[in-house]
Amino acid sequence: MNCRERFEKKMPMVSTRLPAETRDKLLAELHKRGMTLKELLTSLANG
Amino acid sequence: MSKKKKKITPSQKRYNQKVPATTFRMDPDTKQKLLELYKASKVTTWGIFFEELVGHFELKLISIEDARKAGYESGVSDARSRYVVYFQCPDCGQTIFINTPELKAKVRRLIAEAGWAHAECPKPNLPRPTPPKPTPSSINLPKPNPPVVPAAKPNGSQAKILHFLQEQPSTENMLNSNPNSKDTTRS
Repeated sequence: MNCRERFEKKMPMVSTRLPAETRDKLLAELHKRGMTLKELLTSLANG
Repeated sequence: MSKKKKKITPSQKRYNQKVPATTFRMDPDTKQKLLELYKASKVTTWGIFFEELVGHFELKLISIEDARKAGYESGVSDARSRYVVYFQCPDCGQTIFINTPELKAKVRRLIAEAGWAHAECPKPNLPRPTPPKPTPSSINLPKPNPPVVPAAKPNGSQAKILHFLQEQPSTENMLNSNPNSKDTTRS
């Protein structure tokens, strides 16, 4: 297992496609609150 | 051997602009939880699931704002019902709120003139309860001044001594009259 594979296992990729408007709105809102999309999804996943 | 650059068709370009990809990395546990949520939500695609998550987030935002507004409005209406005094204008029938200092002062004056008081307070025409009479021991009277005794007239020998003392110059006068003494006041 090389380093790339180890990294892929440790931090898997999450990818999605969102409508540009929704994504921009969401990112603007997150930026206002000093959050990232990753943090938002993590908090939503953890309830 | 060089790799051929992948060609992006115009339709792909348009699609990428319309629905851009959002990619990030997260720890496997959280990803697993997200996937479980996705499975439990029974939506058809991963993208729709994300859209719903985002919608949920937006709903949360809206609900917080709505809750704040609703709380503010209910507080204001509660305060109005408890504290606001108003009356109808006899001419136009509109409500006039007593909220300015001038109006409040007028109302206070009118109430004072009308003689409004606490229901439990004694009425002015009824005898008011008299305070208890003080006992003699509790009275603190001012102490009387000692009697002024008129000065006795001096007899013959005393009068002589007084006359002698009045004639004698004081030590100050004696110093000033001495020509040998230095005048310290002169500059």
